[in-house]
Formats: sequence, structure tokens, C-alpha cells
Amino acid sequence: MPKTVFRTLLFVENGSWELLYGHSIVWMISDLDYSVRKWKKFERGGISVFFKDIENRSDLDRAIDCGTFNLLPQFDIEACFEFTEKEDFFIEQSHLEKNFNPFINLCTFAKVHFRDYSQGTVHPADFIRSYNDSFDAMKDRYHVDLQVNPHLIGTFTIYEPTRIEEAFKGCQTDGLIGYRVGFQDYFNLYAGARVHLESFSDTETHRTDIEFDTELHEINCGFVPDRHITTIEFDGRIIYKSSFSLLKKISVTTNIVQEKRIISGDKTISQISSSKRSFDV
Amino acid sequence: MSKWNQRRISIDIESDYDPLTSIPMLEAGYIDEVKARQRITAAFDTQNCKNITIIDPYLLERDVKTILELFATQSERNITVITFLNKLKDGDAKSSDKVTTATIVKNIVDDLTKKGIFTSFEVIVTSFEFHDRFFFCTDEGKDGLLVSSGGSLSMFLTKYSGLVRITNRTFRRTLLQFIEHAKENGKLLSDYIVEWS
Repeated sequence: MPKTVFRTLLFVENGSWELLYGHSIVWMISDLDYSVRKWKKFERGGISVFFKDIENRSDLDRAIDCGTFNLLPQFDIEACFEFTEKEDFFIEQSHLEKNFNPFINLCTFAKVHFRDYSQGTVHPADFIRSYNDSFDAMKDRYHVDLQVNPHLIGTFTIYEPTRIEEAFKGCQTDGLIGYRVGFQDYFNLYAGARVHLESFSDTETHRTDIEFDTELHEINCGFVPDRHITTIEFDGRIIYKSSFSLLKKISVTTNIVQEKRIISGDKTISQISSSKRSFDV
Repeated sequence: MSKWNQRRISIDIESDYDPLTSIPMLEAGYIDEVKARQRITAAFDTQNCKNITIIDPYLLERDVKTILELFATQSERNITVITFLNKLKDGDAKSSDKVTTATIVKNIVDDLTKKGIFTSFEVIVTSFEFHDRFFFCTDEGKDGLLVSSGGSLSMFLTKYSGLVRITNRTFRRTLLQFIEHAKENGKLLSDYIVEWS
């Protein structure tokens, strides 16, 4: 079994050292993966970010139970929080999914610890706007966009991703009218899983089940899908679900834009003019 | 619904910040009125507004410069200003009389039009007093961008003055009615100067 670390990220308000946001990713590491063994820090405009790969689950659980991340020995700081509620849920790969997913192409289980959001305190969105520069920087560096997900303020989530990635391509060739689908099982964790495939066009629906393996499967369903859903079940529970629409055609119309500079007192105004003629690309 | 989903949905619903519905000076991280003004420019540019009506009872020489900074960012725009040429109550400093102001403004506006910065720039002086201030995109076929401004152009976004985006279609139609009323009962700047000189 490969080694697992708890890749932990904390956003903390300077001074009060209150934990504003945090997550920990249960991450199996391969030989090529890096590991951050000591707390590292990044700071921008009154907010500090601390990150580290915590090695033991018990250390993580203890921090959550106590409401304190102790950042010793690197920093003499205790990041504090009081999250009384918790919930478990599964996050799909789908444009309909409302929960924040720190992974671009993995599904994940999530256990969120949070506090009640009450009317008396500063609204999370207003709080985020007061630190816009900081959160812009956090978004760029750590891909956690609190401006788009203000509900993540006052939460700590443990993400346990399913390490399966899906490759899908619609096909319309002589021998195949349908699609190709394949899966990467990086750590060979899911042998024996079942895959359920559902494809839709305006007029047709096609459903089929296949064994989970790492082969490329050709599904000759007779039409190139407009929409597709893949569900993978393992040990009696859904561990992967993706739902997406296929882009079949892009049409772009454009026109030429020119810029003129207007001097007004001590100011220079840039005036944009676009030609009335447009053309297709 | 789970507590988590309830929390997420209620925070998302309440996160309805709109830079065009705000008191910029009270915004956390507010920088200055120049930056705050740029939100008006950005909104009208994004919607590619070509016909813009500014309704403001006051219009001073320096306000034309403000209009230039706000709306000269795109070419081929038709600007209409509806004003009463109200005088500023500015302590002991005496405001110019209305005809003098009208003449100065006309010269600047003519110069801007000659230089082709705007396709047209029309100033209509109303025969009646009014109070409220608006920036309104009257392009046909568009869901006209309409912003109510708490302050006049001369003190735009200072003194805690706010902006309110108006999406109510009935109100927009009423404002179009007001513009027609102003045009029917008002005078173009050149006619106003001739009449009162």
C-alpha cells in the first residue's frame, strides 16, 4: 500500500490567528510525488497561509477535536477554530455540482467541519471583499477561490479523493459510431468495481455496464452522445460519478478593434473602436 | 435539506454584491473615487452601450470632463445630457449665471464633437426643475443598463453618495417617458443660449 499523507492547507487571520478556511487532502503519494514535512508559510495583506503534509491521521483528528492547529516548531502560532457541526458527502465531477472540489478531474468524499453562520457576525462575502487582494493571491497560488465560494469561510474539510481519472471521446468513424472510454487506476485500488455508462442525444438513450479495468472501451451505441454520465460502484457505494455535455461545434464571429488615445487634462483616456464588419473564424 | 446545504445556499444567496448598487466609500478595501468611477465605465463598456443619457439637474464645465472620462472609452457613442443647469450653493463663491455656463459647456461639447470623440453630444436644458440623477443606456433591443446616482456629476461618488442599479422595467419605461417630457419641454443648448442672451 502506498504511503498516505494528509496534505493540509490553513488560511489564518494574522493577529487573531483565527482559522478562516482549511482543508486536508488524504493523498496517496507515488515515488514521483513531493512531500512537505514542515509547516510552510505564505503571507499577503493580513492573511497567512500555512501548509504541511501531516503524516498521521491521529494528529489531524486531535487538532480538529481540540479546535487548534499547533504550528510548532516552525511557528509559535496556534490556529484556532470552533466548528461544532460536521457532515459527510460525495462530490461528483459535474457542472451541476455545487460543492467546492479542490481537484480538477477527481471525484472525492468530503467530511466538512463548520460553524453556524449567524446574522450577528460579518457576512462571509463582505469579509472576503475586505481582504480581496489576499484572497486573489490565495486563489492564484492554492486554487481555492473563496470569492466564488464564500460559504467556505469558517470551515475545515477533509477530502478523500477517488484516484480514478476518466478519458472520454465521442467517435464517428466507419467502424464506430458512439464513444471511447477508459480509466486510470493509479494505485490499482479498485479492481472488481462496476462501471455504468449512460449516453443521451436529443432522441436517443443508451445504457450499458462494463467491468472496471484500464482498457480503452469502444461503445458502439449508434450515435455520438450530447450528454454522458459515468458511474462507478465499488464495495456497494458510488466512488465515482461524472456528468458532462459534449462540445460538437464552435462558431466564432469577430471584428477588428482599434485603440485611440485621448488626452484630457492630466489624464489619458483609451478609446476603443471596433469595425462594423465582422467575419467568421 | 442538510444543515451544510442550507448554510451554503443561504450564504450564496446573500452574496449579491453589485458594484453598481453600493456606497463605494463604505466598501471594505475602497481605494478612491477614481477607481469607484471606473465601475460605471466598465459596466457601460461591457454592454457595448452606444446611446447614453445622463440625467442631472447640475451641469458644470468640469462635469463635461467627468463625462469624457466615464464614457469616451468607446467610439461612436451618442451622449445626451438632460439638465436644468442648476447653480451650486457653494458658500460665498458666486456661480456663473446659467447662460454663461451654457456657453462654456457648448464650446467644450462642440470641440469634443468636432474631434470625433463622440458621434453626438446633445445637451437639453429643461424648462422645469428636477432632482434625481441617472445614467441610462437607451440602446434599442437591449435591456437598458440604468444606474441611479445619489450625487451629481460635480461630486460624483464623494460624500458617501451611492449608486443603485435599477432593473425594474416599469421604472425604465417611466424614465424614458421623463426623457421625452424633457425633450418636448426643453431646449437644446444653442437654442437656450439664443433665447436667454
